[in-house]
Amino acid sequence: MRLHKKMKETAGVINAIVIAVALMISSSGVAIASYNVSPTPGIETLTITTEVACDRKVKEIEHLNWECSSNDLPDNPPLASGEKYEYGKIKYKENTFSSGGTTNLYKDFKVDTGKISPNLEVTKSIGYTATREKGTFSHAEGVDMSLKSKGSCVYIAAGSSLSMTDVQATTETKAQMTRAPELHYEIYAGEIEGPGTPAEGILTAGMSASVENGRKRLKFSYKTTVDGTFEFFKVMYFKP
Amino acid sequence: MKKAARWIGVVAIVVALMIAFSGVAAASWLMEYTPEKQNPANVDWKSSSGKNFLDNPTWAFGKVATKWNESGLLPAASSKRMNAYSKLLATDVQATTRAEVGMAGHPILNYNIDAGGLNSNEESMATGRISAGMSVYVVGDPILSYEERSSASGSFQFHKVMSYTSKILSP
Repeated sequence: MRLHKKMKETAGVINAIVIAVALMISSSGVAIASYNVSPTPGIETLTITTEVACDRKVKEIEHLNWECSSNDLPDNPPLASGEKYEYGKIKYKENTFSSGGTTNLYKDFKVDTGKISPNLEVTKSIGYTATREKGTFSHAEGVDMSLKSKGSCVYIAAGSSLSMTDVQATTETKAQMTRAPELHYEIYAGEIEGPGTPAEGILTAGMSASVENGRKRLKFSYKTTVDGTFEFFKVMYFKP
Repeated sequence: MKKAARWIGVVAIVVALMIAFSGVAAASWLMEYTPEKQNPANVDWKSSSGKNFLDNPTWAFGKVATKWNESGLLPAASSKRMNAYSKLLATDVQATTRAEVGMAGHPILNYNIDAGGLNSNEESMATGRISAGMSVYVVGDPILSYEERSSASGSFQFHKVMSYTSKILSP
């Protein structure tokens, strides 16, 4: 929602690239519920809020791996005849690096393995202003989700990679695998002080998905790469 | 998911904080306990510890100011054991940490960090280096592993809140 507002504010700016991708796939004859994973009795919640305002050098590393299954994951016994099988995994990675210049970083990271929607929600906003000749800022963020059940397999991945100077970037990540699975990723990157002071270069953002159900298979991959002096907005959404 | 009783095999929670100001090198964020000498004359240190860690472990510490020569935080917890220590090396800093850890009933860990600097007010002092981290590892159903690190370098404000809870739903 915030990104949409930002997009409206900056509409019409020269050199702006605005891309929105929304994809919804419903495999014919297969109930949506067949892809989801039932919540486990044990519910883990994580809430991490990070705010950093720093003159030089910032580093941020983050990983998440969450797996749940209808079977016992550590013991993993063979399935009995007719036994229901569900398995789901969400992985999230994030790197941030800045140097030499001034960094303002805000990140809100939430995990709730029992929540209706979403299980993973990350909002990240970073502003970087280079104060030296070789200003550096780098960002790599990725999320992927795997869902398996008898006769079906879903894999979805989305992410972005940035390397810029003087930039205000915002990303939102939402992943849900219990109840109604879906994955949402959006990214905005633009100038830090309005038109005339653009972000500099290199940005990659994309999504890929694979859905297999019996004899049907769907593969989808979309990636956008730009080079420099731009404003960039992209929304990616997948619901199997 | 069959039985709530097996929801968790091992729970390990690790939080590490290291603040090093004024050019003092920071150690790795998950560090072994190495007791260091403190200088009480230069330290405004408040610390409180709750009951037995295995019984009802709650503890908190906070407020460190100027020329403070040791602290940090690393509590580690498993289903049977919890260890904690702290280490901090700093000068010219206005920093506050708050921590709450519980393993009885619903496991919980709350950890807040504040540091100063970058403002013109009297309390703005920080100049140096800060590092904070969190690691959560749960084996059972679900399997959850999480790692979080932060680092900064100079003249900064730093605010971080980390919270972890775990509970079992009634069938």
